[in-house]
Amino acid sequence: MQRRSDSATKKNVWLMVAMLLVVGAILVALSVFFPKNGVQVGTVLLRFASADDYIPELAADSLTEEPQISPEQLLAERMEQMKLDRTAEFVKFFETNPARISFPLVKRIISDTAYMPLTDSLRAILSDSALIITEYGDTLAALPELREVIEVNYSYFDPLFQALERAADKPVRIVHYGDSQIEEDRISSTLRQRLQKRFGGGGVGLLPYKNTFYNLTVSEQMRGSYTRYSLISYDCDAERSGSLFGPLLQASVPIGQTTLRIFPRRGTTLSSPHYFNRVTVFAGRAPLSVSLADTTFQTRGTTFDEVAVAMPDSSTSVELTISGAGDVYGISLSTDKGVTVDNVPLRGCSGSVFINVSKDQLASYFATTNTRLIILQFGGNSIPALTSEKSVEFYVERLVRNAKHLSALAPQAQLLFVGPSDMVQSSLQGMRTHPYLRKFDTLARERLMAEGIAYWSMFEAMGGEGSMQRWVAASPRLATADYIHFTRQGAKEVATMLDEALMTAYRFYRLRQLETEPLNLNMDIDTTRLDSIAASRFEVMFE
Amino acid sequence: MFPDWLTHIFAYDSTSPLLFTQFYFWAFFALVYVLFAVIVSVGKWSNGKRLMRNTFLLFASLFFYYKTSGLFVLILLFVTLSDFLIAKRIYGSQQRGRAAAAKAWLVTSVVIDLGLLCYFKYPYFLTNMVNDLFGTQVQVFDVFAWVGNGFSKTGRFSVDSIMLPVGISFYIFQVISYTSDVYHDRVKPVDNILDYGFYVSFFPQLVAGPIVRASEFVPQLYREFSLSRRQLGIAVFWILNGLTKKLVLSDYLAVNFVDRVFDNPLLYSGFENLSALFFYSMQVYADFSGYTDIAIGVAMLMGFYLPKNFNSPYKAPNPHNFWKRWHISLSRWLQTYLYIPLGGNRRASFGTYFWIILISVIALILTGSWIVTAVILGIAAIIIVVALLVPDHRKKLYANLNSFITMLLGGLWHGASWNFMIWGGLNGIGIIVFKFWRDMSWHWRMFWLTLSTAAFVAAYLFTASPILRVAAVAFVIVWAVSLLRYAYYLICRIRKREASAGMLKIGQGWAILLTFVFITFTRLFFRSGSNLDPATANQQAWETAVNMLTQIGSSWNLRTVTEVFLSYVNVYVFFVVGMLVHWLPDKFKRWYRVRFAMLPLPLMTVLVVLAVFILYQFVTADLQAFIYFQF
Repeated sequence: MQRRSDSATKKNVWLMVAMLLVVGAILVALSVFFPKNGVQVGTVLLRFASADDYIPELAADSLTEEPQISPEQLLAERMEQMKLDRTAEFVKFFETNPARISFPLVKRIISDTAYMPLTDSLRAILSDSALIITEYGDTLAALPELREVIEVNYSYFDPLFQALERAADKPVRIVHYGDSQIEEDRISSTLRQRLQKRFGGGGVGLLPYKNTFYNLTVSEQMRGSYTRYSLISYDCDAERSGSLFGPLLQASVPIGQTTLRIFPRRGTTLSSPHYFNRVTVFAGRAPLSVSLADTTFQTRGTTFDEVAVAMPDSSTSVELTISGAGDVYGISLSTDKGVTVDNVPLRGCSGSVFINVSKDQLASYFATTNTRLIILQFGGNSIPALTSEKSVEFYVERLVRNAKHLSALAPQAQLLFVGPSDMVQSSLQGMRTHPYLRKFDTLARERLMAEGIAYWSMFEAMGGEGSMQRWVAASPRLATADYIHFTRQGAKEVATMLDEALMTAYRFYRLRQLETEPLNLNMDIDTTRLDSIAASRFEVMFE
Repeated sequence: MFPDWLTHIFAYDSTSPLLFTQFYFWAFFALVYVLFAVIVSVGKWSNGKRLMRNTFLLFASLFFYYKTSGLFVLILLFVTLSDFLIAKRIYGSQQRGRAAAAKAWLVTSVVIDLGLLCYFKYPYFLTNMVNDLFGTQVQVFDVFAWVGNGFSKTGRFSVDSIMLPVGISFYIFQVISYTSDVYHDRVKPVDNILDYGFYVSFFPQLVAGPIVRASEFVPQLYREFSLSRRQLGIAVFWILNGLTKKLVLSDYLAVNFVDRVFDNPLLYSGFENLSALFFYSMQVYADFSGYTDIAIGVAMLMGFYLPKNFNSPYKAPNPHNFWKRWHISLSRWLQTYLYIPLGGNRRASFGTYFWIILISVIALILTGSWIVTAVILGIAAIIIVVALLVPDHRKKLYANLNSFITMLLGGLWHGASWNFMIWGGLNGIGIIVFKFWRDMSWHWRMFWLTLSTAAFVAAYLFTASPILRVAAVAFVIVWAVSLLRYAYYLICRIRKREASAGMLKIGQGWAILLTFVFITFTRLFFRSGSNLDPATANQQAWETAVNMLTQIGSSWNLRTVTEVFLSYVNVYVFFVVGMLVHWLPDKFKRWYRVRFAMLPLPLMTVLVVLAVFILYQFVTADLQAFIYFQF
């Protein structure tokens, strides 16, 4: 008996060995023969590991691993890089740095052949002209053959920077539209804080009536009720047609009398975004009665109207009572000077809804608030749906159309498009960057630049392919486990990078301003010279 | 020095520890198993061969642990050696009748083991404590890293942080059980250190249990290897069962739903937060029990029996029973080595008072609030005074006190954070409330329930806090159902007949559901304290828990409920199917397990391949997109 069970055991253990080996062999065979890109069965894509995922030598290329820099290091490096670059190598920076803002392109006309004497009258004409003509001493290139070249328009943001420098006289508004990545006032709040520190100003900007999401900066309390309409269909109480949704793409109609109190979020340290001295109610469609600070105002009920009330300096909270049949499009808390940044999160939005909003309303909002910069941060919601080159092109064109649309409605404003973060797809070997993300990033940059819109690649700035994983794995976490959203800390880091990129452009602007002032036409400017001039001027400038 | 692929195979890489769910593990196992098969099947069984088998598995296990945890394998070797030697001393002292020496050795061993555990598990907590008490600015300093660097603060290892070696809580408990079992004469000390090392490090159960007690496993060291055809099949079944649980019900649910909500609850609606809580209950069970299933299967193929660690825990009709079904090896360990020494269900011991004081101190440090500490001490004092004055209730009160302490310490075993303490405390309260409820008449039950429901509703109405709203709604539901049960009880009494079998079944179902919901709720505190940077865990965990409750208690937008459900329909389906399978009768599960085990091997092989293929689809499934995407 003992002997029999002993021999059975021996048989069984070898059966098990055989089974293990057979299973192994079949799986190996499967991984060799199974199509690498999977097999589509109905709606399901069946996939299986391929041999080179496991055997390092076969995949020598894919295994030449990029240095695994931690995001913290990377951030430090980027910052350091920016600081270094600011001394002279702006151009290089704006051509190659992953965290750069890509300036739009512009057509210029040049000539490179004959010369003609440069007279004062000609110089006067030229100074008004858009033509940039190479000057050599007292001669000027004649214009026998004018050539059209496409150059990077480094002066794109100059009007914005001029406005920011004059913000002490006339307030400047920056509107930040984005998807859920900026919900809770993430990213925008850091931008706002940093810009206000530099250029003055206060207030949290335009708020909906009332916030349906948590907001890092302010809290709201409401007595009474209202009906909310929104262009983003999931997030509203009722739907309605038409285009009257205002700058926040949502409209609220009070039911009876409603009182809204806005005050700093408890537990936050008070800083410039909490202090304001001007409250503006944007309304329209039908009249409303607005009471605040013991005074009652009536709106006219035109398509887009505003009631602006001066408040004592450094107010931190306000209570408004609104009644009537009109739409409330938003409440703006700002100051009469300096810069204010609006945070407009549109959850789930792909960035192609702007053409559906009333042109009149948007244009009046941008004009009355002196909006000088519109940031559009979209793409994250659509990347997972991109399945072909065609769909990427199609989506990019829609974004271009929307961006140009906004640009036309706000002629005084510059546009900056912020692309999506790194996004991943999972596979047995771990997560990999979505196959069409880089394609999207490249194409969107190219197309928007060509259409006169600046681009900032969040994907490149945060570290390119695979960075999302490292951001999630970082300690403290910089991105959440959905591999889509940044944590508050991560949002702060991204916003800081964006701000630094913008400020690098600003320093470049100042450098160029400095340069033009004592410009000597006899000076032949070569790049090495530019570097040294820039470096010395810069030191003085930024001391 | 070595080719890359060789390094890849043999060196420790912190970014890819060896897990059961990895291809690499199964290649490792196949190789180990082939060698194992050669060892056990060539020639006649003898003691030398037994030792060879154990030694071979010891080295395979050490390699496994090295691949999982790197040089922490030295810690494992150290506790193995220290407890092996100490157990011998204990036995020797006892043989010579020197009880005091034996006890001293036992204490030494426990101090070494718990000291190591505390060093790795509670360094941030302990430095915080020192800083709070003495106003110092002490930082965590890793002595082992310092030694590893050749007594230098810089070098290969960082001294500024202390990492937790994988599985340390499990094998420390295992060596404690060995010394304690030797001390209590439940097992003879193992003669050969190779045998003993194998017991401590046996790779299937090394990193995530079950915690194998010496008295159960040591005898197996000496047993001859045997594997019947049926065991082979059952082992394969457990492995597949475990892989499915781990990859589908745990990882898929976690990646596609649970993690993201817990990471940032404010981004999600109340419905999503509530769903995430329930999914987490499924996930944590599937993850842990899946891993254990695989461990049991793998061990069984090598002829070793690991104790059952889970017994369909969500079939438990009350929190007390739940702990007899959940992580059984830990519950039993705590019962044997903590609860009973505390005095169990008979008396309060020195340990009882010691732990009450210690727990109060810990609570004081974690919360920084004297009030909390005073409340804990006050409650404990009242219980003890009542117990001393009313001898009739003494036993019951002491038993409750001891089980409450056991639950709190069970919570702290998971980590020193306020959340784990709340989690342990809630479970303790659950058990005690259940025991009182069980022993109460229906009239008293309704009285107390009505009172507490009214209190919560009043508190909610008074404060309008979303968190109290959650509590109030939960109590109102329980109260309403209990009212029905009370009414039914009264009817039965008036008609003088027994409750019908159907009604009893419904009552049982309700009890199971309620227990599941309760356990799920306690997990809110458990999950939000897991996987965090220990330095900031406390605050962050607390914030997560509060934010989730706030979201759940805030008003729900019914339009989003359907939308969420439709967008995550896969996740919901897997959850529901998982629960249904979980609730299948044991008999039926046993039946299909045996049916599978006895399938012809070729068919089984095909099924294994098919299962691997299907599981692969889950591993590589696209991440669930953030919902509400509108193109």
